[in-house]
Amino acid sequence: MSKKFLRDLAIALLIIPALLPLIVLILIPALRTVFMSFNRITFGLPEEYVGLNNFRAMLKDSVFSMAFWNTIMFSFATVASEICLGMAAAVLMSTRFKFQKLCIALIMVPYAVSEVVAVIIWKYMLEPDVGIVNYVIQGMFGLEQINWASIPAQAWIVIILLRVWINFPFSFLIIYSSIIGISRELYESAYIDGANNWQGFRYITLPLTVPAVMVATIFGFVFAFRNFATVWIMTRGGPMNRTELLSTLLYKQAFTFWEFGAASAIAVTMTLITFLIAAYYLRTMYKEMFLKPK
Amino acid sequence: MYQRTRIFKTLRPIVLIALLIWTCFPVLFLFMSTFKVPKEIFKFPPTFIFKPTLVNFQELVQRWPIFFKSLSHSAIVAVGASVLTILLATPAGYALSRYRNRFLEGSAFFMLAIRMYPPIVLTIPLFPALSKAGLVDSFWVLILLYCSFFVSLSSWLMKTYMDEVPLELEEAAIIDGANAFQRVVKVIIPLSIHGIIATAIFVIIFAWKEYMLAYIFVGTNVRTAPLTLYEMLSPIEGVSWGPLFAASTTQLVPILAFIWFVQAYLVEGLKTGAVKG
Repeated sequence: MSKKFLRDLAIALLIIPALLPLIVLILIPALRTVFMSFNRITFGLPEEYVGLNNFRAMLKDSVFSMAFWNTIMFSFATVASEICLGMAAAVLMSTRFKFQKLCIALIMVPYAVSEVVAVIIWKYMLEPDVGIVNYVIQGMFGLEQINWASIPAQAWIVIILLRVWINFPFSFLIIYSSIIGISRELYESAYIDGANNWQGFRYITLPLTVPAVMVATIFGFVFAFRNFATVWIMTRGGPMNRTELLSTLLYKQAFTFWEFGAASAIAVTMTLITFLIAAYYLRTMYKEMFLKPK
Repeated sequence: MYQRTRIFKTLRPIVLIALLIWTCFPVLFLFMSTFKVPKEIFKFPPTFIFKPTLVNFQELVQRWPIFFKSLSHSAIVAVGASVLTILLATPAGYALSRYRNRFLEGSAFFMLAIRMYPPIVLTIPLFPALSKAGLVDSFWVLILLYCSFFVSLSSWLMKTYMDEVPLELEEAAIIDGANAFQRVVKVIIPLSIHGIIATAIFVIIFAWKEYMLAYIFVGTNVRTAPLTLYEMLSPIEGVSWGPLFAASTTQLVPILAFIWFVQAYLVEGLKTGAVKG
């Protein structure tokens, strides 16, 4: 046996165990959803090939289009807020101060909180009549109390708030670590030339954090697009499907109505959009891995 | 790095305090309410000075003994998934860091791309297949699923950390007559212990919090803590907030303490993991 063969064998033995779960539990099922989307698969009945019928029915379904636009709206709203908040926090934290470490730890707190616990806390704070949020907005600002359980627009505000609360530490950390990587001299020489803080942000921080912001944005979208737990625990898609997301609709089709074919059509849609969003990131990584001279 | 101008100096503390209130107040408010008597939990306006009590914990122990069982289930899944992930990702990370061929490059890219799949999409084909295999409602189904969603990130993390172990160290070990196994155990693993720790942290935090996969794949025999909390949140006869707060606090405090102790690794790992893979 040649030395090269032995080497390749060693490599295969090292990497294949890690690939195995990915192939068996992700890749094969993912391909199977494509197959399933062309069939009528109802629990207890034999499978039947139906061509594009699942997709046709899906596109005609008004609940689907509502869920689709909700998902898009939800993703844009949460990602935009996360990035803006993350950027603001990162800029403020990047100039050294006394309690920097402690502040970072405290900003990371929501990262530890399970979606279920987050919903418990926010439901409690938002309880009509007696919750602390109503106390503040009624007592201090004289506004009407919020009633998110029955008014869809308010339900959305609450869901987005909750999601941003859970997810913002992630965007913060990506942007923060990119800002502290910028060399001090760059700023110092700009300030010697008479630049002010705003110019320092506009012409140094902003352009140099573009890659990090891109990563945070793409991951933000990919993760917002698949989000299920927040909405499911909070509203289950209600009232009247008004807070339905593609993920919750998929769940209902599959595990409430046992229509696995129809659910697969939604699954294929979600996968395609996810990879469309991730394409830029994957292409960059691909170039970095294979086309850059080593 | 910004100049400490007067505006910067006055504005920063104000904005920072607002940010910290936003991130921490909800959790602090939960902790406080856990120690209030039920009558006081919904006192309007909310009280901040009160006599702390443990009645909510007593009620939790009496009425929801299953909660403590589900905490132990969460712990089993978290430990199992992190051990399995480390076992699979360490050799993969080593191969990705030390060797180079077409197959490896393809695998590396595959690992990167496969992370993008939305997990909920996979539940549709997996649920029938795994129930046929008798895996639904077992520890294994969660351990395997959590592992497969983290093994690619972890392999990348390991690779990044192992890249920093200089080849010379390994070469010196070869000259001293160490075989491949000894090299790995005596040189590579001690030096990439940070990657192993970061992986364990990620998987443990994820498994401790995870709701969606648990909701779909387990629930009767095996039940993780988020599932029990969800059940306590949605009974027909109305939520009893006292024990629910006690349970939430019990679920949250261990992981907060854990994060506090491993903070440095977590921040480092999140940076590496997010940007590199």
